[in-house]
Amino acid sequence: MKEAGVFFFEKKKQKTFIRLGFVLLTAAAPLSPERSSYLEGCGGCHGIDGQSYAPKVPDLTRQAGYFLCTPEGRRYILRLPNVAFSHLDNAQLAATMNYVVFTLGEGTAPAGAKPITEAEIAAVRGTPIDDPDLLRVRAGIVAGILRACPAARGLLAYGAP
Amino acid sequence: MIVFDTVTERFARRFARGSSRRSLLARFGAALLAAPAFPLLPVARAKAAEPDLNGLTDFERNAQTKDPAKCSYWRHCAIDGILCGCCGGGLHTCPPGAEPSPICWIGTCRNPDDGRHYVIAYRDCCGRTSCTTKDPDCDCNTNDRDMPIYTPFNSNDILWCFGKSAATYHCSTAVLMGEAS
Repeated sequence: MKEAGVFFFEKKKQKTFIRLGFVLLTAAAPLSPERSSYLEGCGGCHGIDGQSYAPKVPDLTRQAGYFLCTPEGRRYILRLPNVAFSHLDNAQLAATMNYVVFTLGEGTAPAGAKPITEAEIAAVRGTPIDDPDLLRVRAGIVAGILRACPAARGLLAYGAP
Repeated sequence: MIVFDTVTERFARRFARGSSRRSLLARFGAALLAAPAFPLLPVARAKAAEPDLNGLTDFERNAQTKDPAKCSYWRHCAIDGILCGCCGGGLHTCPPGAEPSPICWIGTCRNPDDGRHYVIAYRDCCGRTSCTTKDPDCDCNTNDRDMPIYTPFNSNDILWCFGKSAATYHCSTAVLMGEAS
């Protein structure tokens, strides 16, 4: 595609052309509200496409949906401090979290998992996780998830000693 | 002559009956009232075409779209760092010898040309000592929508190069992600 489109351009022009094309392409279609919210509130650390490439930040791509394997996992991701304290309202936050677990985490949510609702957010938002040892809390949640969904082994990569 | 007198008199009387001082006052008054509704002068039309600057941040009021190597360039609304464009890199590219950090600060900036907001990723270039430039226009601290450090996901005061093994900060790029919604 790239080769075909700019075949006749010399190298320097080619680069400019691709860059211009990229800018036009991205600027032409507005981001969806949940994609916008994800980028502004989460994407800086978790990565533009859900892959952080940093050991200190967990990946969301090919992982985030596993948290829906257990009720505790589902509740855990909504009580994460940076989620619960987000500036988004409950409906916007629900849409953003659904984007994270179903779009970025595509293929990892268990079959038949229901979308996160505004009411669910409202119910847990007032009690965010206040245990300073977040990694320990997460390890307990992940252990439960692994029993329900053995395929979720990838979750163990984050926080491993 | 009499005919001429009569015709003139009739015309004068009919005219006087049909155009009273009151009707003149009424029409003049209506015109006075209606005039401001029509922007007649070019000044009024030019003012109407200006964008509404209320509700904009100081940065957004002064933002420009011509020179990316200045802090006032519209995409740099939330940058805390040195522009890579001043250090041998560009808006999207790291200078030679510096690597992009996997972790970045993301902001939303208003393009004054179209009045729309765009999501911008400020990706740091790391692995070289801080870029030194004598141009004060290259070291920016604009920070629109930046929040104190106790809301870490809304604060850009964290050294984002921390995702990299070589965590020395060199400079920052400003990559356009798309139009915000």
